[in-house]
Amino acid sequence: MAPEAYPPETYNRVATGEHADSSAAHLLSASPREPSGAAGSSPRVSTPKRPIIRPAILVIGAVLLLSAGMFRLFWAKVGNTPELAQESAEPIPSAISPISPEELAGLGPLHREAVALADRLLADYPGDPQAMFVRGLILNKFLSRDRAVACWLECIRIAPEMAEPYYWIGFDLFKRGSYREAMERLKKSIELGVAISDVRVVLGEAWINLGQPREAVTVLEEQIARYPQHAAGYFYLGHAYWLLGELDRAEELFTRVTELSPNNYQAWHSLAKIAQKKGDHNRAETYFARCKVLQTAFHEGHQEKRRQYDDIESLETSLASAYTDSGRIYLGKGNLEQAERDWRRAAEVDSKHVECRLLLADLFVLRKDLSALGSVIEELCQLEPGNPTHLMNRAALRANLGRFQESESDYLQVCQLAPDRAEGLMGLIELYLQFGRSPEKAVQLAEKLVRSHPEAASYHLLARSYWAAGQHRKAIEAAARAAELDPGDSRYAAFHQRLVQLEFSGGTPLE
Amino acid sequence: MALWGWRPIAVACLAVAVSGVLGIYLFPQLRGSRYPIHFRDVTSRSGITWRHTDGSSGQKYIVETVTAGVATFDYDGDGWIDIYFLNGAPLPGHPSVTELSRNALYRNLGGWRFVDVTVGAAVGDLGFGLGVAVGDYNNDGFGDLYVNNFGPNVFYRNNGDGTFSDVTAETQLSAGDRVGAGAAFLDIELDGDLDLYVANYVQVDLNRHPQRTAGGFPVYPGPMDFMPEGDLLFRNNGDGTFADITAEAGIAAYAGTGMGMICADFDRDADTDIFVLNDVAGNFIFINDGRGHFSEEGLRLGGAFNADGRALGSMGIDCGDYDLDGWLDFYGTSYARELAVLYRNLRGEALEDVTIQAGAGASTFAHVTWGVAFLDADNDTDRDLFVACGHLQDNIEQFDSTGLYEAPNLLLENTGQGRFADITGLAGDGLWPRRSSRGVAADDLDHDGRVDLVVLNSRREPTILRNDSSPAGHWLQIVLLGRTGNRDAVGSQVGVATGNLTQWAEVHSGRGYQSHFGTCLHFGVGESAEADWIEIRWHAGPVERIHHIGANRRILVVENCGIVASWYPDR
Repeated sequence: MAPEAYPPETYNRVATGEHADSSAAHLLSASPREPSGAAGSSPRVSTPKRPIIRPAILVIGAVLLLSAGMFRLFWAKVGNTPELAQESAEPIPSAISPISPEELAGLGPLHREAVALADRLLADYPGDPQAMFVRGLILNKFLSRDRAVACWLECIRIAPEMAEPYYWIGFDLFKRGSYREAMERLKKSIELGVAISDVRVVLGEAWINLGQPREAVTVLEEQIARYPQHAAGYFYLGHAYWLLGELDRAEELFTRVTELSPNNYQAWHSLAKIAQKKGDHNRAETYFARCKVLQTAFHEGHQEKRRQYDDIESLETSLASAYTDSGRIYLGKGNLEQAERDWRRAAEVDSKHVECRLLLADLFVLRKDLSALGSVIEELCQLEPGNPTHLMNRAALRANLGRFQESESDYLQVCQLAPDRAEGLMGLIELYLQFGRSPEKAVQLAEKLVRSHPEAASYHLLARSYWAAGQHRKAIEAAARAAELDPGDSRYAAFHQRLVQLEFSGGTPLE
Repeated sequence: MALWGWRPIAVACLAVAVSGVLGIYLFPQLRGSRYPIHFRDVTSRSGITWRHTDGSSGQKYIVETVTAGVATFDYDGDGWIDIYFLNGAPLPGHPSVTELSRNALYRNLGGWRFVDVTVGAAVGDLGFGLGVAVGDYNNDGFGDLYVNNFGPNVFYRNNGDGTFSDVTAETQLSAGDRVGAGAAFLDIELDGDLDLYVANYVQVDLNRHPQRTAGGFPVYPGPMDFMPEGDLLFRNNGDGTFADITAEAGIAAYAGTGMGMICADFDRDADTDIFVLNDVAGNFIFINDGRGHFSEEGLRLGGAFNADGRALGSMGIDCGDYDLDGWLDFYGTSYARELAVLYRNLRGEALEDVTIQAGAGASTFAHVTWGVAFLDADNDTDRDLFVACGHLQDNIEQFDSTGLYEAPNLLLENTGQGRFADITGLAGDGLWPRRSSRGVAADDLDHDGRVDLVVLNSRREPTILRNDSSPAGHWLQIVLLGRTGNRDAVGSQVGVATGNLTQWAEVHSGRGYQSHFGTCLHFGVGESAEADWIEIRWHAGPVERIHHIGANRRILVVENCGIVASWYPDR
């Protein structure tokens, strides 16, 4: 489409009149302009021909520029090129103006609430790039892409070092098929260190769609190096190599996709095509058959998802995310009350929203509001009953509140849910030590812990458990092992020393 | 002279040179263009006043989104290509359920004058039109009309006197009471009469129609919200009736979400195969064993999915030998955020998605694409592509402002090296209108040797595009009349050789997005004033070669009789 064929740099130069300026500068240096009717006011004498040539050149130059501008406008019109201002000294009006009632016409209550939130952010923090960025995200989802892009452009204007707006504008252009313009923004976002894992995948896909797989390879090789567990990078890289005819490398990459994502029917399809191209028809048949089975399952799964999909619920989730992002802005500005209000509203709008509850939990920890913390952790445990982190948090809170049995039950559940991880066991041991209960059990668990996780922290806990159980010699040995395993952490050595001293002088070693 | 001396002239020359360089730099697609392609919108002066309706009333029935196709064919044998538009019909909830939303037949009077002859011709079906195909099922020399509806389908026999008769029941073709899609006549078992393939979409019950919203806005459901509907294959019994042989021909085992389709001899084994696009499901390629039994091999042949292995939201399909290697290639349109697909035919052994290598898809990514036609718009010997665009969600801008309900259609010029360039913005005002287009038909409507276009637009008047490309290359149009095989020569392939180039084309019935066009084969021959030879591989008949045929005329070739008539546009 048009934008691909239209180098934006050229347009910018023409559109900003840079050519005209430089032409004028050249003319002036070659033949300085005489102020009319001011003979004698300049020491230079002009030749009679120059004023004649200059207008001709200027007229032709102007015609050229006008033609180029008209062509560009025409091209933009027929090619649906989004006109994106590059740089502007003035704030972009559609970013900083509140949403008009006309724009709200026909919108439902959730949309209106989101738009009001976006306007509040603007009113509370005018000129703040983070707030403007979040405003853009909200308007993109709930009002209009044009308004959103204006906000992101405004972000770039006030904080050119901010990476995310470049990504979002780039992604928007990508979706419109304006690849070259999209790539410019995406590359810029990478240059600025955007923290979005798929930015290189989008960039790679844009190169591929433009028919330039070699360039796609460069960016996608980078992607898989950074995100070796993400299947998408391998898939598109495989596709780029396929286009380049490098079948062996493509096969390697598609195989990796099937390892990371065994149900990816597209990767099996690609492997089948490669086998077919290599003349291995038996293998191709096998892969095609696998692809067919997986594609059918995918299709059915997708149908089921569509049946289950609830659009209002999805909108509520989006609104809750908007409040969550907004709350972060207020937190960053030190307005904890508004942050809390936003996160509470997020939790209210979407009863299943986890992120806002996690942020609320952090806030309550900060405030030492254990009662509020307890309720929010309770909600998190109900929302994600299989999440060991929530259980750990609840166990710790319950221990803090002196509710030993409930805390023990949570830790035991953590141990069941994540048997390979140390946190549950460690928590449980700490609990026994904290409450002075079952030192033998603590010893038993600590011995188990060092077997599965022979690290300094584990030996430290073992030492404390032995000491609590009265096995001082073993405690000193374990403490020595902890200090040996992590000599960089002076606490382990100090603890060991303390135990040794106590063994001879008597007293309690517990920290 | 002092004022306009040599310097301004030099500067002006320089400016022209700079403009040229600038133009070529800004519009690289201009570089390979020998003949500028130009289409002019002549709808308003054509006399065509018909408007399409999708029968909508805000209920968002899925069938509203997929109507309809268009057919161009010479119904009265006067040599001028006429136009048959399919229409939707009021659906439950529509404020004027009694409104006559009928199909329309426009007779081409020449000189870009069309007259509505629907009533006289008796082809004004009031059903909910989706797909159309033209084929001379009784070999009487007049094209008959099959209309694939949502609801009962209709088959019109052409009486040869400017009128048609509804012979749906008489021919036993009334089985198709479903949500139809494309349709095509083909001779499946080479017995000399045309059989009929009818594609179907999904199983819809308007009383239990799913309601969907996106971002809080009501939207049309998609094919995945329904069960797929099986296609149908009817064998022509040769006695004026058809028999449903869907099961015995091996078709019934597959139920897809059929959309556009085309029948073509993909592997050049002298029988006709069937390529059916399915919406968000793997496409079908039914390979004919020559006796009318088919095996579905879309996946193995590489036509089920795109190069990514993804099942696309496929819409319309056309075929043409874009790379002049003698094998028919296929171009399928698709949903937004997907590239339309150019499948290169690898000598009949497989299809390979070469969209990216050929540059044939990039500009389609932003749009839902529908009708498609391979046409040599500038007669430069290679096939260009016209692609109809427009989203199916009429409120797409509300919840996804990167989409456009009414979008510009696209023209991709074949630059001759197996690559295409998007020249939409350079191809005249005919490409300016933004509509939500569906079916497309490409034929020479004014006998000027340039292929014109008819575009059916959802909920609006159609767009009639006159090909004003000038200068254009020389051309040759070939009408075939079969004697051993079917009279329309559907399935016959024609090669036209000029110098070291040979172009191949095939006579199809039913193609593009549920449409029909191009029964008269059009070949651009560039600078050649004559074709060195033409070769006709008659379907179910002999291979015939004729030498030294002068260009810039339409010829009628009768099987085993050679050229029996010629028409010149300027005589």
